[in-house]
Amino acid sequence: MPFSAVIFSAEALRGALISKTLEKNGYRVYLYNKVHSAGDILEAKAPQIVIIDKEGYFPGELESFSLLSGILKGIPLVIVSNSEADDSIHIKDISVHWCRSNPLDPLAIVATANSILEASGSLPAASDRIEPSGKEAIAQDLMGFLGME
Amino acid sequence: MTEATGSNDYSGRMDDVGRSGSGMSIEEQMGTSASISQKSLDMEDRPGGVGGPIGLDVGTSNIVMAQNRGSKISIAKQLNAFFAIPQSKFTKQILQQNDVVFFEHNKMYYIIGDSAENFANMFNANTRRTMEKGFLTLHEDEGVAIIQAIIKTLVQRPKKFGEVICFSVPGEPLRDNHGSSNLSGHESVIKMYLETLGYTPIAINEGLAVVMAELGDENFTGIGISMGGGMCNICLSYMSVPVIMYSIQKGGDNIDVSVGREVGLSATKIKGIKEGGTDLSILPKNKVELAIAIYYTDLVNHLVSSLEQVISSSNKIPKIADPVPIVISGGTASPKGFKEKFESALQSIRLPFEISSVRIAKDPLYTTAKGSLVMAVSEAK
Repeated sequence: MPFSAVIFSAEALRGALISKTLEKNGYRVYLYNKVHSAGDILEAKAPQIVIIDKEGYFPGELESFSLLSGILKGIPLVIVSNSEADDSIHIKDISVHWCRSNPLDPLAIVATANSILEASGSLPAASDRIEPSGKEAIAQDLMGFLGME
Repeated sequence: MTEATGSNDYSGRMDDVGRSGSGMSIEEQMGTSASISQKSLDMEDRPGGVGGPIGLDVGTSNIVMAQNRGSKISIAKQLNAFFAIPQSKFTKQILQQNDVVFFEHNKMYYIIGDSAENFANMFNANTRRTMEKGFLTLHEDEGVAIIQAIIKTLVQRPKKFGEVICFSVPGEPLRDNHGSSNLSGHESVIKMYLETLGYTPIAINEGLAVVMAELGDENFTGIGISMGGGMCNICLSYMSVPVIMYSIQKGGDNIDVSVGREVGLSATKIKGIKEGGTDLSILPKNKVELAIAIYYTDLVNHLVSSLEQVISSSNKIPKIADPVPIVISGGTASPKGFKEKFESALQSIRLPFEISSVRIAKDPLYTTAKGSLVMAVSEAK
């Protein structure tokens, strides 16, 4: 069963690049640009990981995440940013993983998400994963592209 | 994914259009005030006609339709051109006898599609176009009605209302003066017409369609270039996400017009010579070949330098670790030696990522339609 990730990204292109790359790497992705209903979204989707692309959001919008500590408890949170880590997103009792990515590096974001899930034991370590055969990989690619289960 | 098959399976042109010669009202066909002489068959009447999603390449030179038929992709093509001649009973009889697709309007016969080129050559004149430089032209009063009539020869009403049809649209043209294009107007006109036929139309960038058709093995990551008659469309895609899309309003037509002006022949004549077997890898043997080679070089240099200009100045490009392929489609990329000319020009520019290979699409004339079909199928799921 694929891991589910909720992405918040204000910029359509960046959001699409991150979500496509995660999908390609086996995640089921839910992409949103508006953060005002983030709480409802996270409750409904119950993702294994949350990714916030900080670029493009106003500081006030990012602050709204600080109210979500209850919902985010136990869910790893990755902040994607062009710059160094800062305190623009502070959520009580939630460990935030920063992924500095300038230019945007979708594969680095996937690697960050994988390593967090590996560390938590949710995802088998890369060395233990069974890679699909060539034929299976093509079938998976096609199914992913066509949005099939 | 299904593969296009050999040339025998490319149906379409006038063979896919019924010919009742009944003078059927064009209001029924296009919602305009003209009348058309040929009756297009409904989908269920077409031999082997099937429903399902459709890919439609709406190009300046050609309109191409692609649709799945069992395990094959069926392709139908029509020249996006017309030729007007004055009405007379005798002319009408001749046109009908020779299965020429035309319609009547304002005491003129508008010969459309592939037949238009034959007539233009017969009169040593140029065909007229419904589109110019990638967009519907504002110079022709009947342009919209004619392009609808041409589309109608290829796309019939769907079996199931709301069937998905993906049609190609150009990217925003690069302009020095930052002027705006009529992209949204062009897209709206095509979209509205396809909606009246009963489809759910979705626009796809022409360059992205090339990526969708050709770069499946590369995770839909790379640069797709469609070199058509009116323009070149370029798309840098990362995992099927179009990162950069733009167009340059130069294409095969520019070569035809420029060469024609230099050597004193009509552009339509030059187009015929050019498509008859231009070889850019050998030294030109006469002044026409020389002029064609010169203007091809100019076009390729312009295209390649635009790549450097747009990509190097963009801040949207993600980190691309692996070298990316470039795939080129369109009739203008068809001549022998074109790939080598492009590769050579590519050596003179710098890009923020490496290029793994340059290749010409498998069926350069049908790539955009096939890519649009891939998108239509995925949207229909």
